[in-house]
Amino acid sequence: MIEVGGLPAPFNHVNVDTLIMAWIAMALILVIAFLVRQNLKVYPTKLQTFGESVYDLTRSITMATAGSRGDAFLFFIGSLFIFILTANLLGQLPLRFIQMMSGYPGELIAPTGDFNTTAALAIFTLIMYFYFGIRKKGLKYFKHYVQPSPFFLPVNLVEDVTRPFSLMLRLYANILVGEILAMVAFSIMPYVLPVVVIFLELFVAFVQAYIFSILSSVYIALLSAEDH
Amino acid sequence: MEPSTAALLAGPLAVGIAAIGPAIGISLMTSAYFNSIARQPEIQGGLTPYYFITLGVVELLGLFGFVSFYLLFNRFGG
Repeated sequence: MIEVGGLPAPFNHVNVDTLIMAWIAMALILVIAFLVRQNLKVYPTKLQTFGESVYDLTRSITMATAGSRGDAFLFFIGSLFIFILTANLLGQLPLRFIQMMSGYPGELIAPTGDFNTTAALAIFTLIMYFYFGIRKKGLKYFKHYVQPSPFFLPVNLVEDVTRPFSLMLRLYANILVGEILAMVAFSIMPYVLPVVVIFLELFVAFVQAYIFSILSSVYIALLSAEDH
Repeated sequence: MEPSTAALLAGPLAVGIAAIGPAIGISLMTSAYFNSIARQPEIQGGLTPYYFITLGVVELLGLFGFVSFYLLFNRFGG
């Protein structure tokens, strides 16, 4: 944590470790995307097959929730999925064990294990579903707040807060639990035990990226759907 | 009882009690998921996204317990 001047109290701290890890994740994604993009062929190479399967996976998410209408927000869901997956997997590298032994006073964990990162992602989901809803329906979008009857207004308003909040909390808590488990395992038995936890975490990393992007996709699809 | 002792007791209790509900919920859900796949194997592709959506929703309740534990621990225990 370092302090930055010129901002009020809760906003003047920057978590440098999270920032560095997020930058590493973004650099990895950029490099891999650039390599995949290099020479595309009709008969794909291994790297191109990998890129295509990632695309197919993200497209299956939007297809499952919004059908072919989902292609409009595929760019957002795909970016979410790829960033979260890379970030989660980055946390499974043994960086934190090296850091624990070296005595560096920070925590080099996955960037999604910090709720600032996941809050940013969740807020973008909120903005996106407002954007797609308003683009689709215009000002009639706000009619869904009083949709079954005007008595549902408070419930619908609260939903706009709980949706990003639950997205944020789910990803953050899952990744943090994994990191803490791995650290506990490391301090009990540094040679074999963390490997077991890390293998479990590889699965969790994938599932959480999938859940985050599919729920975002559901929210966007739900609020930009046609009225019946 | 000192506040820090109470917090140390409350944290693990929060995690444990909060885990009961999601455990039951996820077990019920997964058994229904496997049953339906056993009956109709071709439905698996259509069912899996909904399974994961519900998994995320149910699991969140357990994570509330963990987060409250973490906050309590950082506040009083550390």
